[in-house]
Amino acid sequence: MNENWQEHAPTLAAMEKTNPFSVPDGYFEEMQQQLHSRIRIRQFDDNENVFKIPDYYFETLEDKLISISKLEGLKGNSQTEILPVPEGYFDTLEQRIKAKLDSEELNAAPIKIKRLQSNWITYAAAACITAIISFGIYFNTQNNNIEAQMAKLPADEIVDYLQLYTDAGDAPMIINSIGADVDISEIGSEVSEQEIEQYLELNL
Amino acid sequence: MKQVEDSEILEMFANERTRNEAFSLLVKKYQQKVYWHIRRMVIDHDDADDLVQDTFVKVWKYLGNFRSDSQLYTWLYRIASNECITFLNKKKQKNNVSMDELPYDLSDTLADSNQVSGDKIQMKLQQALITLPEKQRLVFNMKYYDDMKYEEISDVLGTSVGALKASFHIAVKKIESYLMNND
Repeated sequence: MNENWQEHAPTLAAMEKTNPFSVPDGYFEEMQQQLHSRIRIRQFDDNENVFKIPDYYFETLEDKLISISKLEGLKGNSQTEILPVPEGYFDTLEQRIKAKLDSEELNAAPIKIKRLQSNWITYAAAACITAIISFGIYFNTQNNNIEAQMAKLPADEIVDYLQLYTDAGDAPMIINSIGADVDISEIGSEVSEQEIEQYLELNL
Repeated sequence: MKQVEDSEILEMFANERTRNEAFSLLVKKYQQKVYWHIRRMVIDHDDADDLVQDTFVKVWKYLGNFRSDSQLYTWLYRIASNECITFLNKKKQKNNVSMDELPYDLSDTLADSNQVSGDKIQMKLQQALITLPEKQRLVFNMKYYDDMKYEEISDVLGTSVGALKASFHIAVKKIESYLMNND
């Protein structure tokens, strides 16, 4: 069949077998050198690999790639498929936020800002008054306590004290301190003349 | 210049001291055959250059394992053919081009005046060739341009002789039809 193909294709058979393709000058002369260079480089590839790889790297590589591809497949699912968002949501979001802000500004009461600096005088005045009152109460309490204690002392103890610790100069002060409702004329009415003489001898 | 026999090349390559020299001899002997086999498939010179280098690098790497149950050059052609098919498939995927659209992609390269220097009829033939499926184009090129025997082509592609004959016959008919119907 094929031995007589020229009979079935006269046009083709009549054509000259020529090479229509052009080749750069010196191509075949340089090919040997290029091939040798390339083979020399390949010899480095054939040498033992200087790079270390983890143990069982290639054995586990396939499983890792499958896992990664599955994860990538999940990632490929649009976020909207998992968490749907209403249509046009992001288009109107900015406007809705602005409207809400405007609404809140109108309804908000004015915020009073207390000025601490103008109130310090008030606080200081209040503190002073409190201190004064406190001291007054304290001292008043102390005086009452002294008078109450003094009232409880027996009279003869007071006399003994005065005899021991007073001199002639204290007489006027003591006389003045005696209460007004006490009749001076009655003082000494119970004291004998002998006692008066003894007193005078000791203190004058 | 007397060409070195394949057996001698293989013997020299087996010896580590003469391996580089053997490889040089091998490249010198087959570089043009391999180049044109690839170039006719991918059209673009730079693409062909890359694939030629890839082919010979693989030859260097695996020639030590070559069993002499086939000829050395059919083994070379097998590597080169696989590189071409892999490249064209990658090109389709990379450019998101379907199988039907790849001919138009290669046709653009063919139209580049830097790539071709043939006359109009030769250009037309190349245009016809790139409309063929890749494996069918390989069969046609090896039969038409390289004048290889079907048994040798079978060694290269791993396809039966009968299937290759049928494939070539269909390719010839398509090309003839294209040449007749296109200006």
